[in-house]
Amino acid sequence: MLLLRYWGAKLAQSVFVLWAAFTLSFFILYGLPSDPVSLMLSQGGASGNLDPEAIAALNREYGFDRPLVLQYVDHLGAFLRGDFGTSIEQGQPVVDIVGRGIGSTTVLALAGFGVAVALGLALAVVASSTRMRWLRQVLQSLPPLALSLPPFWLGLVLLQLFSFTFHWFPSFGDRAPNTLVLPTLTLAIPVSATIAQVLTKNFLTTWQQPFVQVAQAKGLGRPRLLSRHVLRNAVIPALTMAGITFGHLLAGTVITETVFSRAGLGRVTQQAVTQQDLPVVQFVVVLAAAIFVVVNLLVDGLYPVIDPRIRRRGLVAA
Amino acid sequence: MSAVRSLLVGHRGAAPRPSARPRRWTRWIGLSASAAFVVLVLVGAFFPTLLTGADPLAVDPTAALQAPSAQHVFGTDYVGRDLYTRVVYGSSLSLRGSLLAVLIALVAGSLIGLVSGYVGGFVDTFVMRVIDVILAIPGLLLSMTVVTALGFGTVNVAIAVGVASVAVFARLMRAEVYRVRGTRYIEAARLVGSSRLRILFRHLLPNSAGTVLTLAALEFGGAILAFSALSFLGYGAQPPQPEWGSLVNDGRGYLQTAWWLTTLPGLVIILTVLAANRISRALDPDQEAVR
Repeated sequence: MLLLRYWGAKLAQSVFVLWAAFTLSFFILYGLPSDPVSLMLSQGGASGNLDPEAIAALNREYGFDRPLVLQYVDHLGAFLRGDFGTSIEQGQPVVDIVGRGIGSTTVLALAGFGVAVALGLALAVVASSTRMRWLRQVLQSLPPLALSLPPFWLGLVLLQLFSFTFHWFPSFGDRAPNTLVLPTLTLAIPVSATIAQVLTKNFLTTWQQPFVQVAQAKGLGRPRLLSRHVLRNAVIPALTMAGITFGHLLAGTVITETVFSRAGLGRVTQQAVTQQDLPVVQFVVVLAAAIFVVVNLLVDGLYPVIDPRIRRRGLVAA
Repeated sequence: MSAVRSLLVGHRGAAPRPSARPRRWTRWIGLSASAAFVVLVLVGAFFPTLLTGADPLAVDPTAALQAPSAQHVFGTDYVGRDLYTRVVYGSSLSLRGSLLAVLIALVAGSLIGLVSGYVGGFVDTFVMRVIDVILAIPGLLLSMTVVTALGFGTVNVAIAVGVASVAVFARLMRAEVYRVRGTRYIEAARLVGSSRLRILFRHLLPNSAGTVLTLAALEFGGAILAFSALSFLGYGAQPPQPEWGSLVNDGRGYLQTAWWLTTLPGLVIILTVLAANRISRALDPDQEAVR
């Protein structure tokens, strides 16, 4: 019963997040004065004066001439039925356009996530358990430095070094597996910096905990102490970040795919913004919110598996 | 980015850091170097003619794609424009854009947080729920949404970056209002019959301003990065006007032949962000104690 109520509340919260993301993006996109129709006509080659009749006709076709609230109700209804609209620029269903890019982007994002977690974890473990003060200070200064690098610049410098100077990796393409290396690094480095910062803080706190000191006093060696006691306790609070981390990965692919000219969701988003393709942009925002929601639900389900204390306490704490 | 940052800010001071503090004088040198660099960049932003006598748009095809030299410190681009001059003039658009973004976030966020925290009840619950949702959407995507609606240009990108960090300010301001609201002097002010508005603007606002202004300094570095990312994607000032992000983008086609076109403007961005972050850390007493 308790379990049911817990998941009921979580689900209601998730639905609220999705609704709010939809509503927010709708009113930003459709409420502010933008003019996708004349932009589309002017890009279609008809330079010079646009025919007001044609603009009015297209506005009518897309429903831009109707009151905002009515448009909102229509859009929300369509979304709920699974109809995510049609791209204004390309005239195809938004789902098809996004679907073409999502495979390559998922591979990139997952690879980026793996590398980011590995890098962040390694840095945090070494920085928090080393006894060499200079090493800790150097390692702790790395994440703030990495977060000060513009991601697009990082990608270009990697390209310059490893593609054009050393010729280790190809500079473009998205088929062969070795084309994935540089984009993955570009995507992973800023994310790993955030992970490293949070984890280092958790590790340092956990090393000071009484139970660690007791274990140490009883003669447990540092490697054993790290793997059995410190690691498990320090990682759990960091799981909360997972939802936000995946969102950052999705946003990061916009830059990464632009820098490396990869076809994917990020590229689709970048172009949709350039063309003021409102339905595509809105779908991507709602998709980002959906990823956040799903990852958070997964993490909530994972807590009791990882932490026996939560299992025994019976979810009350959460 | 800002969501994670607020997570970090919330935790700060929790971990007793066993590492020794760096010596006084090294910190002093780092801080004054940062301050000097920021002043230099600000001079470039508001009085570019003091730093360069050249014209950022002057084309000279005979001097195209020259490597950095004494005459052209940062080299020249593909039509022979002096890159250093373009970076200086680029700081004018980029820095002023970032300042505008922080200002928008500061004013709008503080107002939302102030009112939400002071009114309380249902309004507060609802506003904070919405703020949580905004924090869940990546800042870059939110900014891109605003750019889609408003169109391109320096001011529109600045607004977009500002909107994306409104939530962080609103949340912090609300927390501050909650902290100050329960104090004795607010109670006293209410007892002597001060009106709600008077309490809001004479007592709550000034007493929460310090923390929020510190956050503004901290957000400035992030705003520079966000602004240059959107400018890199091509949403900022239209060519030939230089912006830091679009300068890097202009150099993309010349990675093999002219490394300076991407590397040097990027380094200026990085140094500015690092210096801004260093200064904002010094302004924040909690943060400084932890370091």
